[in-house]
Amino acid sequence: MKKKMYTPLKQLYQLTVKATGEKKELFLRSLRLFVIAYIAQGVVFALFYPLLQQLFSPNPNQQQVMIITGVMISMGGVSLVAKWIAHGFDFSGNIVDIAHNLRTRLGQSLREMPLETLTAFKTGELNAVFSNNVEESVIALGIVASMIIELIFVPLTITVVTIFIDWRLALLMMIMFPLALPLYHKIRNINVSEKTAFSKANAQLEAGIIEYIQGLPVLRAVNRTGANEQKLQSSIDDVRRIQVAGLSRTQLPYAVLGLMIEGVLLLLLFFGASFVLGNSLQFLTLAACLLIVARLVEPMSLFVAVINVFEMTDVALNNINNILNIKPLKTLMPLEYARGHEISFDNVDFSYAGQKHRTIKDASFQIREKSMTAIVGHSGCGKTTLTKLLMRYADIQKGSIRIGGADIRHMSQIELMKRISVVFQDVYLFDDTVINNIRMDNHHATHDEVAAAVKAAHCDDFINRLPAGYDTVIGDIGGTLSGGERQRISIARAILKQAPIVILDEPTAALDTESEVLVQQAIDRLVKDKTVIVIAHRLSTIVGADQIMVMDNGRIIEEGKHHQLIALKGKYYEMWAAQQRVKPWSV
Amino acid sequence: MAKSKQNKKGLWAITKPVNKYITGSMLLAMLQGVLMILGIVLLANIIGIILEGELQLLGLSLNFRQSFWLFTAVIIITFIIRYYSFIFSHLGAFKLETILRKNLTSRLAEVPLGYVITTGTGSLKKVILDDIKSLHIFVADSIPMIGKSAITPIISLIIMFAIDWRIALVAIGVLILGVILMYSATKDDAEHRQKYEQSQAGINKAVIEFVQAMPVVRIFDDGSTSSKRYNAALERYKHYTKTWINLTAIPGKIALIILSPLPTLLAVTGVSILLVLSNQLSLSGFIAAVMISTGLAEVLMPLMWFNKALKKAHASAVRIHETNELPVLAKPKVAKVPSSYDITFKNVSFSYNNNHIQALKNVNFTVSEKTTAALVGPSGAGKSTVARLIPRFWDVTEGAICLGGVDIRDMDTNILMDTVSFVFQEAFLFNDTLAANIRIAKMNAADDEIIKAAKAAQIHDFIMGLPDGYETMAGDRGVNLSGGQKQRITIARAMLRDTPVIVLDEATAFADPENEEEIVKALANLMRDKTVIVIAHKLATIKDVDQIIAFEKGEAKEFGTHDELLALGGTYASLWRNYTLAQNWNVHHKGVQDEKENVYTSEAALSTYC
Repeated sequence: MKKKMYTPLKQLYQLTVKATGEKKELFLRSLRLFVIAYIAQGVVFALFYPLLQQLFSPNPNQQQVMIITGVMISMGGVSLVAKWIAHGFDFSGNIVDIAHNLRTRLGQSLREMPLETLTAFKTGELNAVFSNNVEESVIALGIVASMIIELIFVPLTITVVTIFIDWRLALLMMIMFPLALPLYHKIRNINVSEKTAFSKANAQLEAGIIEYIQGLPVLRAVNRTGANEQKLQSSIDDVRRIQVAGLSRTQLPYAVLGLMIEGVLLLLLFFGASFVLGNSLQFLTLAACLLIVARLVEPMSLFVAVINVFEMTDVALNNINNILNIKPLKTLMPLEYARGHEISFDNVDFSYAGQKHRTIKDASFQIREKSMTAIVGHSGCGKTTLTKLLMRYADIQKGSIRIGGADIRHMSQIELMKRISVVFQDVYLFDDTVINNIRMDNHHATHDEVAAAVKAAHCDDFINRLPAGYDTVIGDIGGTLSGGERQRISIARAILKQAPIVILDEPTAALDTESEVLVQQAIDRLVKDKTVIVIAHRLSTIVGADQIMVMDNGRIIEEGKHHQLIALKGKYYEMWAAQQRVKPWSV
Repeated sequence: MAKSKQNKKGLWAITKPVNKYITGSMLLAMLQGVLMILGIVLLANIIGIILEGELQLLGLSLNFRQSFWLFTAVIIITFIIRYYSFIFSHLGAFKLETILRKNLTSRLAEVPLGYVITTGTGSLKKVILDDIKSLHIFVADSIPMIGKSAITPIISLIIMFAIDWRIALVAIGVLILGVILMYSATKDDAEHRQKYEQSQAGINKAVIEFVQAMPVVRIFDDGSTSSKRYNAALERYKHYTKTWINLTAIPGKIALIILSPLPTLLAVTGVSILLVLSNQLSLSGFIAAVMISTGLAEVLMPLMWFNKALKKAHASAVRIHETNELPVLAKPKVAKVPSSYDITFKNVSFSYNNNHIQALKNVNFTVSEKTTAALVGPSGAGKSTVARLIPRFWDVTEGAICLGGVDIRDMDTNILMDTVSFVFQEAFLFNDTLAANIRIAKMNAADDEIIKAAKAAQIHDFIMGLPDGYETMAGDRGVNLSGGQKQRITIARAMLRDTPVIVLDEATAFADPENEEEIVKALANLMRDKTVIVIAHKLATIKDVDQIIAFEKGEAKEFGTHDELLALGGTYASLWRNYTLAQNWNVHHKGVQDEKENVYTSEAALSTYC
């Protein structure tokens, strides 16, 4: 059997304590109080030994009984007060603070991690960590913590007291520990292995469902829906098959664990009775012992729920720590400052994380300040990667990238980003007012500057038509902004930023003709007097570039002005000719 | 109160197909609860006879050894019953999951496709996968618990009354005292609860936004006030959660203390001691009372958990129910079959989702058999709506769409699908081989036919150039292919289907230049001798079609050939002018040299296209 597939309890405890951050002391205090509370509770139970002894002796000593009862009540009081204070940790909002701090730290990590790492996450994945996993990781800090402590300290106290009363009974009780440990071990291992098999089937089902929904237009056209779509049907059945197959494997150990206390009861009854009949044990001691152990049946039945919480916390904390542990790209020392804005790539090699082949191979080129450079080539040839590297999306494996003579690895992230604006094909607008979307966090911009940017980006007309003008909240007007209008807002944003370097990544590819013209005009305003890098499919848009770089399979294979490249009769010429050939459909 | 009753009904209605399992599991759980308490009573009585005497049970006299084995038997039976209660509930949950998933996916195939598209893959996936899963968890884990929790307090109370009524009253008394304390301390404030719940939803939204916007945030904010919106949402959540917790702290803690069995245990022990001292309670009675007394309090804790699970399951059940109850496309009573293949829109009006704004207003046009009509117009003019009404993504609000004189609503869906092919902008490939992706159009197609279709779609050479040829996997949702290549695979599908009518929506929009030439060739092959409706923004490609229909604000405004519409000087002429402008744009960088604006408004370019 493979051992320790799961995170050991001790490590889980350490991870949990670490997650409490600055609330660590308060948390440990509440744990200590719970320990006191449950030891006191164990003592209350143990007091049934003397109580029964006195109460059912032939001549009960009333005073003794009252004293024992008094001690019981005061120990019960101690237990309740300790619990009351300990629960205060949760009920005064400390757990909310811990979750809050975790989310803040996660946000910071997201803000700083290399963009390459960031884009490798699926949005859904990150959402799950930020919202669900954070909640799950703090569950164990509240009521569950008290349940775990109860499960450990009440039986422990009872056993310890019993040692002094009758060691044989204590020994019988202790049988439950060596019995419980392998079971606990087995359950956690099964949980891990079942979960792996199940999540595999579940992932397959998820992919199947997504494919089915997205493919519905096709599937419906060929009548392969519902029961006719065998692939999906069998993915659905597979999940059930795996669940059914694992059912007895997962449920039996749980059930046996639940049976454990009853088993100990039987042992105590059987052996205890023979000790009593053999006159080596007082009858009332055995009676008290059985009474006390029977009290453990109910809390033990919660053990199963607690183990599930372990699993949940384990996964959640792991996911959170994976994100918190991502190192931001280091700014190398000494700091360098850009003098001017010419850009140079020297023998740059780059491969994406986890990929063997190089996406950029030995790229070297210069871009003069205030010139326009176009990058063209097939989709997937590395055009976009080249521009991403300039923004330090990830660090290159070989060579260097410089802006105004400064290696971008030696520039602070803020310094670097200050110099670059990007207009993407997909526009992201915040669910905020139009003006905040344009201004972003640039509070230095005066109203006039904003107005000028808006006008230059041809946004003034449609913004004035919006219900609340500049203060219209994007989310309130739903999808009423067209693609072109959204793109123009993003250009206004870029104009206002006044960065000396502008990257255009096919900004008009997804637009219809109507919008295109206005967006094009807005772009012309944006790029005026800037160092411009443009990625374009439609070659006619970049014929005027100072420099055109043709990429193929990660390499820059041709470089020059339009007429030079045409004269070269190479790849560029081929692409140009193909585009010129596109003729109306002849039917 | 009435509302929660109704809610539960909704949940049980969904679990109906597995009610046998649920009832079975619940009955077993109840039986287990009863046996467990009886076992404890038995134990208490066995303790009484360890020294001497016999146990009187149902007219039988059992000595210690016999009663011990009886007790052992009770424990084992309880264990087996409990185990099977869980097995039943889990089997039921698994089956429910399967049934609901199959029902929902079948249902999605019958509702208007428009619904599927507007709802989005993400939301639908969440219902089919996650909501059904949370229902599963509820059925599997909560059912046995409900069964046990329902019966335990009643049986314990009965037994306590049987032992001594005063003990029973004390046990109830403690609970009632707790409940009164809880209520008097509760300042349930609907307003605060609502704010708390709202801020909880807000935090999810903030996270999604923060993650998605990160590339933009990195570039456009100066770092000093970054993540302001995200942090504001976090603060808001913290504030409202804390306010809410403050309000519930005292009653919450009281509940936890009272439900911890200690207070009941102490009270019952106290009373029992007094009864023993006054010779009104035996040793067995004392032990039984102390053992059982806390059953009342202990059962409440799981019930509180159950309530949480129920709320979650109910929300899921509602969403599942809604999806399952979506109206399906109406089927004709008597299906008609078209004899010719012209398409006519007769006074068609259409609004999305009972929206007052009409996406189409009284649209009338006819496309004769084996001719091509191009729909043009600015975005939002209604072109795509026209294309999507033909395959009945939605049904028209007013008027009718006829194919060969037959209203498409009077046609069997299969016949309609066999008559019309659709090539849409979003080319969709299945995670299967390229051959299978083409063959899906015609399951019994021979390999020759597939190759022929691929050749006509200008994709054969590309496929043959791949190491595994036609057996190459398309990858998850076609990720291994470029947009243009995917598009040509879908054209090959349409080719293979060889339907008399074809609807094309912006088929070349995302193609890169090299693919574009091939796609245009592929489309020309596809459109030969077919009735075609095409939407294209690249107006140059549709210059020569038989008929151009220009849309504006949901109305079909102009009809005619390219030359006729240009001469008209209306919508189409202005579209054409914009198009040529955009085509002749090149990034206007050297602003210093060109001082006049719009110098690229090149009249010359216009004339070359006209």
